[in-house]
Amino acid sequence: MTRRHPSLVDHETFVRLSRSRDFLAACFDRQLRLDDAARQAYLSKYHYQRLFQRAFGESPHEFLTRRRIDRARDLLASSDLTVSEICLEVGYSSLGSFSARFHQRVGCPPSEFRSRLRGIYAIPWPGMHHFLPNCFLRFYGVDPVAPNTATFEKRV
Amino acid sequence: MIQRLSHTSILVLDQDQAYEFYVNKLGFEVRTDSKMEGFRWLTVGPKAQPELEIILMPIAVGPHMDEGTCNQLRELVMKGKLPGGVFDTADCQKTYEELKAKGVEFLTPPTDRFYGKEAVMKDPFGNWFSVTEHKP
Repeated sequence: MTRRHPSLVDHETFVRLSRSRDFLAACFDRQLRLDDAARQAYLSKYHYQRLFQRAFGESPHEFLTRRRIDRARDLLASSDLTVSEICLEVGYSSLGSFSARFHQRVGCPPSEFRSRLRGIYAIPWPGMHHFLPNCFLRFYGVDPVAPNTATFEKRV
Repeated sequence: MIQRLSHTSILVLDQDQAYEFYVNKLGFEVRTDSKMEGFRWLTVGPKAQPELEIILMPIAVGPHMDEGTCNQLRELVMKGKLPGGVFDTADCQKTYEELKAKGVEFLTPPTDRFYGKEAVMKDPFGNWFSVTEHKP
């Protein structure tokens, strides 16, 4: 028995929410207020928060946190920036808050994440922390542990 | 026990063209775009489903796929023999008009069905999809 399809947000509202979500994605590294994002969608803060959650399955704050932590993972994997520098780079002003959020989402502190990655891969490459199933890589003849070259782009 | 689907795949003939279609025309987000050894792992997904990754899989010769098999797959995709799936929309007519304006090709316009309203579109390679507005 299939369950009923969940109701979708109406078309015009989804377009506005998407625009605001794109705004959050583009400005994740800045200090943002909920008001700024809600204004992009021409909604009050309360309605914006509720409709965003309904449309995308996460609150604006959760979305922003996810983007910031994802970017932090990219930088920990592919750069030599310090954890403090990365904290500021991704929009956090407090190292303590950043580390706590990172640990909560990733399961370990930022420094441990970095050292784990570099202990696994023979040749560090920018995309190595993303989930690339080995079965697919081997299907195309790619060595998942030590690819010859790697360039990584994560467009937001 | 398996709890959910995290990845699904669509066979494409060119990943740059696929990117242009699924990201720039359909409005999907890029989930991962990683290149290595001449191979590109490109996944996208609808904004409303942040956990889902659609792998835009190139048909390419490799250890498990010879040239003959690649040619067979390309032919099947181009003939439209490999359905892609079903996409949900809150307004089939508006979505149809917006996507047509962006150059997306439709096999059928929005049509009333017992389950709602449905249009059928295809990607640049031949994969076809239902675009469905479900009845409440």
